[in-house]
Amino acid sequence: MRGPGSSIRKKSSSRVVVPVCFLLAAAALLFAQADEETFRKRREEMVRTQITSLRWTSSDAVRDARVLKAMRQTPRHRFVPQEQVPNAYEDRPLPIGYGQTISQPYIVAKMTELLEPKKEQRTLEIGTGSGYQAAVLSPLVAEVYTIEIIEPLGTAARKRLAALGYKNVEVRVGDGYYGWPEKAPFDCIVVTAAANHIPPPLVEQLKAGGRMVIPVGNPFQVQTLVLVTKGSKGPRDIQVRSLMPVAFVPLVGGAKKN
Amino acid sequence: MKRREASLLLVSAAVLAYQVLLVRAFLIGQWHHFAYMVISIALLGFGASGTLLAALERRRTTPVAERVPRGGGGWFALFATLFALALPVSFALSQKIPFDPYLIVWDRRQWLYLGCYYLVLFVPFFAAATAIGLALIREPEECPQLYAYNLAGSGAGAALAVALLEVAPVEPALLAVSGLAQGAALLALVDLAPLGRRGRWLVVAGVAAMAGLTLLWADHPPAVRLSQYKGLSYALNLPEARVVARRSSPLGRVDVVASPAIREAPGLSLVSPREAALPPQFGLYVDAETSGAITRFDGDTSKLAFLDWMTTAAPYFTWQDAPRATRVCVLGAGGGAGVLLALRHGAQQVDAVELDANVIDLLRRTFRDFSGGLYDRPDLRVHRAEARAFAQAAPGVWDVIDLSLVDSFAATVAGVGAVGENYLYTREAFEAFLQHLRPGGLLAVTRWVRQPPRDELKLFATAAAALERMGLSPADRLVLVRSWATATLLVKKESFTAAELAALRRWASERLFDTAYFPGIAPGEGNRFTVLDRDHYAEAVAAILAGGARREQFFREYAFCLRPATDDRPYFFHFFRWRALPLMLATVGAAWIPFVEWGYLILVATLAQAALLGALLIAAPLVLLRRRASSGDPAPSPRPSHRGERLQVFLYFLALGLGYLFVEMALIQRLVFFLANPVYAIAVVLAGLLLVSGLGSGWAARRLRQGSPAARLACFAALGVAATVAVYAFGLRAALAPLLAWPLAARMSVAFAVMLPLAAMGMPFPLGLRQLGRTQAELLPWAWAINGCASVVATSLATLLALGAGLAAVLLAAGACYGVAALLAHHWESPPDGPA
Repeated sequence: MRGPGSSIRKKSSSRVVVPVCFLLAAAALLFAQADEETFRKRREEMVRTQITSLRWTSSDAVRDARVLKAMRQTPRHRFVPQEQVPNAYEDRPLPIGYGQTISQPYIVAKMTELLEPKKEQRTLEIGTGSGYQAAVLSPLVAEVYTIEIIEPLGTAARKRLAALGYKNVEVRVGDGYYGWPEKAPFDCIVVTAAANHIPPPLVEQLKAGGRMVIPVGNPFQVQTLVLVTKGSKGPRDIQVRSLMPVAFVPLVGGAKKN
Repeated sequence: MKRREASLLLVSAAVLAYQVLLVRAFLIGQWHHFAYMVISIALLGFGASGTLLAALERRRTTPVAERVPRGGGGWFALFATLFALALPVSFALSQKIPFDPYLIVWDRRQWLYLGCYYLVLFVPFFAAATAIGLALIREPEECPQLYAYNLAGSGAGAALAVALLEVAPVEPALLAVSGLAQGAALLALVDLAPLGRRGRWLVVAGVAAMAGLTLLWADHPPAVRLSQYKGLSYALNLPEARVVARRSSPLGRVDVVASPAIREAPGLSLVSPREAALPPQFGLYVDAETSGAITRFDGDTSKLAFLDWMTTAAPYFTWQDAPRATRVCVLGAGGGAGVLLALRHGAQQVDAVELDANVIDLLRRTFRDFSGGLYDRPDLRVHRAEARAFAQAAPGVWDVIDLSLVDSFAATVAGVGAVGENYLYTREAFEAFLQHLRPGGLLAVTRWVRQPPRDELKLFATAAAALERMGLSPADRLVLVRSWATATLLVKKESFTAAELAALRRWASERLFDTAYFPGIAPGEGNRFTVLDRDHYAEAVAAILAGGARREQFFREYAFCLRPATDDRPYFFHFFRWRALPLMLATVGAAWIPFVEWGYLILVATLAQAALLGALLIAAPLVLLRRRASSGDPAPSPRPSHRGERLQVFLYFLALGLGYLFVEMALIQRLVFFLANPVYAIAVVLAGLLLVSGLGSGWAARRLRQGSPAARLACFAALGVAATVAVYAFGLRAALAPLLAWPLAARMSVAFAVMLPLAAMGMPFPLGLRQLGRTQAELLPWAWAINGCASVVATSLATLLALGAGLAAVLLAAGACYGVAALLAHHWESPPDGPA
């Protein structure tokens, strides 16, 4: 049986609890905002020091303003495992489990720039990973289709991208070897999971004038970016460029003595 | 043999077998250079045991000369038991450490994990080394005899490890070795003099703990932890992936994985047509790394069109306009892609050479139906052999010798080298291949392309050097075809004909492959399909073909080492150049990381760590011993040692530690070629050298009993070793070369005969300990520490020396070490009479 005092106590306790909760929520929001603000600043710094930096020779530094904007906007820290959040904006690849990584920011930016994405275009990505590359591409093109072969990674990326409001990204879990024929052809294709060859069906699904980028090397050591461009003169009108993403040239062409 | 000696023998056997098995386990779970580093540092346990022995010595007040000869059994038993307990625990724990070498550049936690590895693996080596050290230094008079048991035990351990791996995977083999260690501990415990009640309880507790651990292991056998970045781990993440077959041998663990997403077609052309779709394949993994595939084959070669869309097909298309009946030799046949390619192009006879019997067996039995009985076809001969030795000794000649994406199993089974030797890609190997070509025949070598180019350019330089040595001009005998992923070099003894070149170039351009070099190439022609911003190939090829000063200048200035490997410096994969490092750091900052040749840097890091820790471990016993001297303990030896004498002791044991391992390393690398099998080479050299030096040590003990002066014995033994290795440095390779075609058993006997004169290597060390026991017994633990540390430093030092100056230089350095030891032994004063 409740005595008269209990409701009073209840009232008084609710009088305390509600404002405390409110305060806590406000504080959390503030902190979160402050956090987001910190991350935003770190993104700015990342773009300044890693992606547009002068340490890259002029042809290597990423210049495309739209790409830089996307890099500034995309919350990379939301695409890495919890324990990697402090490292999210560092100049390094990050492990995301299952032997997979997300590339270092510069490589992501450079690959995106090489695709020359346009607002009305349709993009295919093979190897979603955590979804970061798809998120970077999302504001730059009309549609992003991305396929991940490792089921847990694909499912997590789909949820993550949806939660973060990337509406034009569609994630499929499966084998990306045969591309996404229903949505083909594509203006841009990124193959982040090329093993020992580039699947020919993907080349077929590339539109005339389209561009495909493949990072080559093990997950932690991207050494080369391979850029495939398809001309308009038929299926064999293909050119491949092999790009060293760093200013390595002085080293190989007969090193100058300082 | 008494129980104690038997126990010493077993401890020695178990610790060496453990070392070999540990390397094997790490090769599966991690990568060889890390395996090598981690285990090298753990082996410093041998050096550290000297510190503990010095501390134990400090507690003792009886001078050595007055001790009961068989005292100290308790400590020996304790450490033997500790070893037996630590061995399984240490292995099981080490497989729980989530270390990822790839992350070490960025992730500080990885350093902690690396430290954990060192610590965890250090314990068993430390315990075993302490037990062995105790046995040796507590009875310096008996040292030569005891050392003989130690060496013989180690030799048997090496042989045992390889034998165990022949019949079982690494985990059960470790259990067997753990049993061996327990046997040693039990023998030592039983040997203890009548014990008090407490002692008896301790013994019971020790035995119970060992039994408990064995039961635990049998119930929950620890498995090798695979790094998530190994090829096998990646494959097992694919849809419906499962291991359908697993085989194990000393050469490596072979896994076959089934998944519809496994597709192996290295560097497949971007424009390969639908008709050239890949048939179903099983993935083949050796030591958890990708090693080709087994392709479904029903006898109909028209279903293998995809093979024509890779650069590896180049030799067959050279003759597309004038088909010829071909005999083909596929070196490193593996899953059979090269064989299928040859059959598709109508080869009349194919010789498939594969070293790993497990791979052959998988194709012949488990996957016989799937592979269409490929390895049992009448037009195919399968040779279980090492590729270089086969090509060198085989009587046949071929139209095509195909060496595609083969990395010989580096002889890393005993941590032989972070940058492993490889006799397939040397100048002499290319000469041998070319000599086995029929007129008009082609040698085709394929490697992965890396940017900036390395492997394919070194191949080009190697082939050019081989042709020049044969008195042929390379410029019109080489063709290099490259895709974005692979490059194939074609070498011919005759000049390429215009028709051949036209056919090749047509084939290549249909596939968007660049012909990076062909006789008569015009500027820009080699950089049309996979376009490089700067045509490094053209520049490099021009410089190499120019020869003389221009070639030299190019070799000097290029960022990677492209100088051809030779049989004396068989390090094709050694691309690292110091002079490139500062430039790299200056120009590209942190982005240098992907371009570094890690194997070499880790080798240097291993040497630096070993030298630093070794110096500390050598200094520590000295400090302890000095404290003892100043604390006024009764003098343990006839007189305290002086600085000059200490220097002599230091140099003597340092020289022996370095010298022994230098000989061992150099002989293994030389005999890998001769025995044509890395595992046999390691087993024969480790077991053989240790056994014969054990015999030498035993012989010295007998001579001593017959009254021979120790100084003379040690001096002559060291001189003998120095002379022998000096002769081997210059003459061994030439002397063995004509015997390469002999059967394996005969070659093994020759290898043993080569090592027999090195029995003298077993004498200077125990004689030195014995001498020290008579003159400066307090320095005995120190000498043990010096030898232990020097051995570890020597392994990485020998590899660096071999990379820089060749194997002959390593043998000469060993000779110099033994020369120094001989000189020092010559100056030993005749000691006072020891106890009878």
